[in-house]
Amino acid sequence: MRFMYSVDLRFLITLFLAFLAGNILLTFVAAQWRKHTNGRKKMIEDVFAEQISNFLYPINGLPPSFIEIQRALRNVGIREEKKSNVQYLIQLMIKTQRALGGVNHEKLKKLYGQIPPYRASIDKVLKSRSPFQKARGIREIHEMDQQHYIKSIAPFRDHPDKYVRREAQIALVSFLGWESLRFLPYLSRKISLWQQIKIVEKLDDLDEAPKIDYIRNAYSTTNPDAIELLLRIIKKFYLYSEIEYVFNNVIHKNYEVRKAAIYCLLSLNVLDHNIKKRLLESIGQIPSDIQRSQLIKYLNKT
Amino acid sequence: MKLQALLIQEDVTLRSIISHLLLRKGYECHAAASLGNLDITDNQKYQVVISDVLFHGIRPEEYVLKLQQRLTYEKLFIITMLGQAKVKRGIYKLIDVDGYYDYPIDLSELEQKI
Repeated sequence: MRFMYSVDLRFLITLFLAFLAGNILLTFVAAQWRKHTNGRKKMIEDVFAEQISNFLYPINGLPPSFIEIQRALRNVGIREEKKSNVQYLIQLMIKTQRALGGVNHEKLKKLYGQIPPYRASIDKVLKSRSPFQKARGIREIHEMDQQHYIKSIAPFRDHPDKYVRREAQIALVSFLGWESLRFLPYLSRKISLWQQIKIVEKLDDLDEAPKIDYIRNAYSTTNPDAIELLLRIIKKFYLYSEIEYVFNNVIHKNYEVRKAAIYCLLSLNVLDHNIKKRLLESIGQIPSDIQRSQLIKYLNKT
Repeated sequence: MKLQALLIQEDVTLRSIISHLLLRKGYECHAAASLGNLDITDNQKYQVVISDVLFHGIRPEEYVLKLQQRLTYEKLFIITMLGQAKVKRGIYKLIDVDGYYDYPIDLSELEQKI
C-alpha cells in the first residue's frame, strides 16, 4: 500500500516537473520569437524611415529612385510571400502619410503607387473572401489616398456586409468629395447614424464650399437613411437654399427622417413667413404627438 | 560653428524626416525619442528645439514645463498628433511657443520659420 502511494506521488511530481519544464520552454521560445519579430520590425521601420526621409529631403544630391527604394525594402524582407512584413509596412506607410500634409503628402501618394506592396491592399478587396479583409483593404487604399483604385472600390458601395460598404462609401467621399453624393440614390441598404456622421465630417474636412448640384441630384433617393444623411448635410452646412427639401420631409412617413428634418429646421432657424405658414398647414399630417408639439414649440418661438 | 537643433520625437519615421529637413537647413541636429533619452551637455544652447508633447506617463503641460527647465533654446516648435484646442491653449499659456503643428503637418511652413 505504502509502495503504491510513493509510486503515485513520484508520478505526480514527475508530471508537475514536466509541465513546469514545458511552460518554461514555451515562455523562452515565445520570448525569442517576440525578440526576433520586434528586431525585424525595427529593421523595416529604420529602412523605411531612411528611404522616406531621403526621398522627401535628400541630403547629398538627388533623392533615391523608386527602384532604389524598392530594392532597399526588399532587402529587409518586404516580399509578397512575407505577409506580416508587408502588413507592417502598410501600417507604417499609412501612419506617415496621415502625419504629413501639403507637398509631402502628395509626394508620398505618388511614391506609394510605385513601391511595394504593389497590390497588397487591392488584392484583399478583390480576392479575399472574408468581408473583414475586404473592408481592411478598402480602408488601406483610402487612407493611402490611392485614387487610381476608385473604379474597383465603387461597386462595393452597396455591399451586403456593413463593414465593406461602410469603408467603400468613405473611400468614395474621400476620393470624389461632393461628387460622391451622386451615388446616394443607388444605396438601398442601411446607413447607420455613425456612418452618416462620418460622411458629413469627411465632407467638412474637404474644406470647400458645398456643391449644391450634387446634393440636389441625390434628392431622388427613396432610402430613408440617405434622406436623413442629406438633411444632416443641409443642417451642417447651413444650406438655407435647400429649405424646401427639408420642409417636404417634415411630413415623411418615417419617424427618423421627420426627426432629422425637424432638427434641421431648428438649426436653420428659418424665419421666412411663407415657410411658417406652410408648416402650420401641414402640421396635422405629422403622425407623432411628440414631433407635432416640437414643431409647435418651434413656431411659437419664431 | 553650425547652428544647433534638438529634435525630440518618438515616431522613428517622422524623426528621421525632420532630421533631414534640419540638416538641409544647415543645422547640426541632435535627435532623441524622448527627453529622458537625451544626454544634455552643460551649457548647450540650441537655436531650435522641435518636440512632441505626447509622451507616456506625463501630461503635455507638465512636459513642456520640464522641457523649459532642462533646456536652453531660442525657438521652440511643437509637432504632435494632439490637435485639441484645449491642450494647445494650455501650452501657450504656460510657455512661449514659436509654432504648434498638429497632424497633418505641412513641413514647408516649419521650414520657412526656421
